[in-house]
Amino acid sequence: MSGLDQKATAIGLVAAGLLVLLSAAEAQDFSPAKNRFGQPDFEGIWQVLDPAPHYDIEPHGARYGVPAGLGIIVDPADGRIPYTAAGLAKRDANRADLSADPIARCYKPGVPHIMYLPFPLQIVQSRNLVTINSEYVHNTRVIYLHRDDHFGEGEIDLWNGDSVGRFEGDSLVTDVFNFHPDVWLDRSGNHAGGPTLRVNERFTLIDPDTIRYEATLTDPENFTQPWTIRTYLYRHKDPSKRILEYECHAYAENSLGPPELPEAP
Amino acid sequence: MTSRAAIAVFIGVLSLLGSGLGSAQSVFRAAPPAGPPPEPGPVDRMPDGKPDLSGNWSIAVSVGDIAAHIVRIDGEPVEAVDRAIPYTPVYARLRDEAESRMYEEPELHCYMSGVPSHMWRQGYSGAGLIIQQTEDYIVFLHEFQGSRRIVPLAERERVPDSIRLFMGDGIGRWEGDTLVIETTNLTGITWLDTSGNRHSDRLVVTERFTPINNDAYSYEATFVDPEAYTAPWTIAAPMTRGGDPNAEILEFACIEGNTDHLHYTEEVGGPSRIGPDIR
Repeated sequence: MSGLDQKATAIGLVAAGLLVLLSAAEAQDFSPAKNRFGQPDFEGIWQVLDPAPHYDIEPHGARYGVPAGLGIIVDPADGRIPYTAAGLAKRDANRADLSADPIARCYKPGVPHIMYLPFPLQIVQSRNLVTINSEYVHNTRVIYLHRDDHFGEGEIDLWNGDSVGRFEGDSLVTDVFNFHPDVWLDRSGNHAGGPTLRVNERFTLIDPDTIRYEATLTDPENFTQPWTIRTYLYRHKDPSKRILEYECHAYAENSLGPPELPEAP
Repeated sequence: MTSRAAIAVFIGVLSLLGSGLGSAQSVFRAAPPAGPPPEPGPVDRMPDGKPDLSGNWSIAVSVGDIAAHIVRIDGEPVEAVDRAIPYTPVYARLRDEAESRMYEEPELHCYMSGVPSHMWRQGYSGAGLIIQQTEDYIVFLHEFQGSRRIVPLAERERVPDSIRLFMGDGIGRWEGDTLVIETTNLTGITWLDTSGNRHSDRLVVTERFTPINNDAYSYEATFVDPEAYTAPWTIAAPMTRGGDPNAEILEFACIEGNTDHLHYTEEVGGPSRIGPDIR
């Protein structure tokens, strides 16, 4: 390892250490309200504030129609996805044909992308399930709390994966598995999907109106190491806020509307 | 391929998509509605004392013909032989033209089924209607089309008339133990069943969920739509809790796999209603 690399690594480790400390400091002082099942209460309408990760989760400068962003990858410290050669080749192929973007086709956005879409989402909790109801094409993620295993061994292709979860202290933690291979992470061709991907999420209220959202992605086929994103979901305070509809596929048809009425007989 | 055959293929594909995965899962099976009427009994309640509908349900309404469940027209009870939707002349003709307008069938386009017909699509997917309830909201989730309704249980302002929603703007309230949901701002796009019964975007649906015991509610829906109907009409059906409290709904990837609308060629009027292939 060269001196420069060592220095970069050391800076990276310090930065990672600071982030751990920072997240520990955020969580320490706050004890969230509990619902009738004794679960930390995540209910409400939430949304990320920064649209940039939806376009590109890595650090990037602005370009036409895309705001600049510092990226949301906190590990590795360089903020870049640690692709394998195969993973990188697929990223490059995606980037060469952005029309293949699932979002451009109104497809389901996948996990974790659904969490940082520029659409609000409403979290609702029951004894055995947590639902995350995004306004984007009525995508509802159901996180099942009554089981901790998945059906099958990755043979089932689900765009939003199969989510199981549990409460760990005041955090909701999930294990998401059984992904479709064509899921993208952003509008720039970054991807994570397929039978070998696991996404492990952690939702933590750091104050009554902010959820710290972290997701670690593990997939030896596409990534050289597990890597982690972190972003924040903010509570909508406007009491009139509600989840409306963005039925993308309906709007893509050229004549959406009530039927042409026949002549009266 | 005729439109009817195409629909059959489409439904077949949906069934595969919807329930093919279900074999590894606890799949909801609707309890048969036959048998003696349910005995009155206690119901689970929320901390605020209101009935708790959380869980898995089926409502015994035919996907194929909603008119078979009519119990009142203009507030008057009707006999079985008189069960017919009181259409205005234009909407009667629209319904009669259903066979030649199959390309307008919303499910063909992967649209959500609308209110209230998304409530009884278990025949397609094998999974039931999942209800989540809090003191502030009631949420209806169905595997078919992944349809979803989030209904507040407190008064709030309606969305403006210019906003039309596949699942409408529903607001719930309690009348004693009966949950009443009034839904406005619907589209004129969705159908009431698969045989082409229709409504306009002026439709207002009022649903009533009345507990009999913890596993049996009575369900009613009243349809008021001066453009499409000459009088209000009401359907009723038993609503039964599923046996498995952990029944699950799976992902319904309709948009991601839909090719059926491409079968609707110019001869059947398809392209006039269908836009570019978004895939």
